[in-house]
Amino acid sequence: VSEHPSDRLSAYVDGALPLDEAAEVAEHLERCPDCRGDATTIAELRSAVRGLPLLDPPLGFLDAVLTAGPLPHAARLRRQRVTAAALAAVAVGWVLVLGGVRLDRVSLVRPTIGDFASAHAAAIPTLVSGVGPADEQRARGYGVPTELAGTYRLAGFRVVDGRPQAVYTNGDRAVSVFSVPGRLDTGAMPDTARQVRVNGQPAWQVPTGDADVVFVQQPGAVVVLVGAATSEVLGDVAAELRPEVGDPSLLDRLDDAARGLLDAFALRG
Amino acid sequence: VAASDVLVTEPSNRPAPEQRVPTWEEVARDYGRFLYTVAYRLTGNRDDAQDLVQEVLLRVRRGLARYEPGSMEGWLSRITTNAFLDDVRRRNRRPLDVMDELPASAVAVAADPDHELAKAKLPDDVQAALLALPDDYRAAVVLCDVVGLDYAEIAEALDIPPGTVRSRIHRGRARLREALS
Repeated sequence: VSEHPSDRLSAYVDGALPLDEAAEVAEHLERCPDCRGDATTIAELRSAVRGLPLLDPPLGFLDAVLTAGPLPHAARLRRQRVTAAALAAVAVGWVLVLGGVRLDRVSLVRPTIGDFASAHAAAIPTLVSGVGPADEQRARGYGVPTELAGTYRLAGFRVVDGRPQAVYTNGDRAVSVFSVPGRLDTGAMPDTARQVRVNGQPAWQVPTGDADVVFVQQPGAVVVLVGAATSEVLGDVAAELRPEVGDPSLLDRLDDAARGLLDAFALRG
Repeated sequence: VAASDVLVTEPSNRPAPEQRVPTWEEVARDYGRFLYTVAYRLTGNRDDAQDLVQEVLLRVRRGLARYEPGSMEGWLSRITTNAFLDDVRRRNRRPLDVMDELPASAVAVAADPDHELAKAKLPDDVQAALLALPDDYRAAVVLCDVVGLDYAEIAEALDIPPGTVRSRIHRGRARLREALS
């Protein structure tokens, strides 16, 4: 057996060798099972990489670039720092929002599943263009976080009947978050509702046609999440938070973050 | 397995050459998905991919005047890999070519009698394996297998000799194999 072609194999598989060299390698492969195995492996690896799918940029990204123009490097760095700081505050804020802060509100919140589901569905088409400057300004006015758990970004915001609705997406999944002052009217839950716990709080998960609607009961307020595979969204959010719960100084900071968020949603008495 | 089975030919996804110089907005609109995909394969995460796309579009805006209608994807991927490697160099402040000094035997592909490799690999596994490659190997493999450039185009894009393209792609694949096995 002649000398093994070693690093010429990839070039051979890619059809990148001059004809005479390719003929030499082909002749060697006829006689050498080891090299033949290597070449097959290379071809499989090549196919695995070539088979990777085209990816969609996060919703609104290209439109934002088209509107504002590409950011120069220094501005991108600033944006990243802001994002990192905001993320920490926001992610931990949700622990307390979902985990419960004592509030004295007694009005009954009816689980109007259809209303929440259609409000979510109605918001999806508006996400194509991303969150516009006007919406973003309004969202800021309500103190709505622009990121959730690091991967979900605010992609839409509106106020329907006095209820703020924030829509987040991670590019694959979208979730709407409503926050409604009051106590959940659990007696009005449909039979299809499944009782679950979210961060230790009682919650009800109701499957609908395209989306799950989850009501999280907490003292004084109900957080409503709507989205396809909501449990995965919750899992994403929870996974981000778990390691930090035991840190008391962090909990103090969380409390501040949660207060800001609750103020924003007009939940505090 | 006969030697001839090893040769793989796949259709090219590259569109016909452009006849007119587009605006940078048209590039962003028409090639945004392509750019983001290449950027994501190189960087392995959304934030860095978005930053890289922005950097590329800045360079596109500056460089369009010098663009000669031809393979837009080739031109864009050249800009993308160079912007990526510039950023890597800026962060690391160390030469990138040190890996080329390793003897080929250190990264040779060993025979695999089962040929089970990569048969059922998920995109995430392949992406993770790509990310484990040294940056300059990854740039070569991405240009070859994600973009579909030939070796001469890769040599031109990365400004390296054809022999270096050959060894980076081969060693890159050897490491992919290790990472995926």
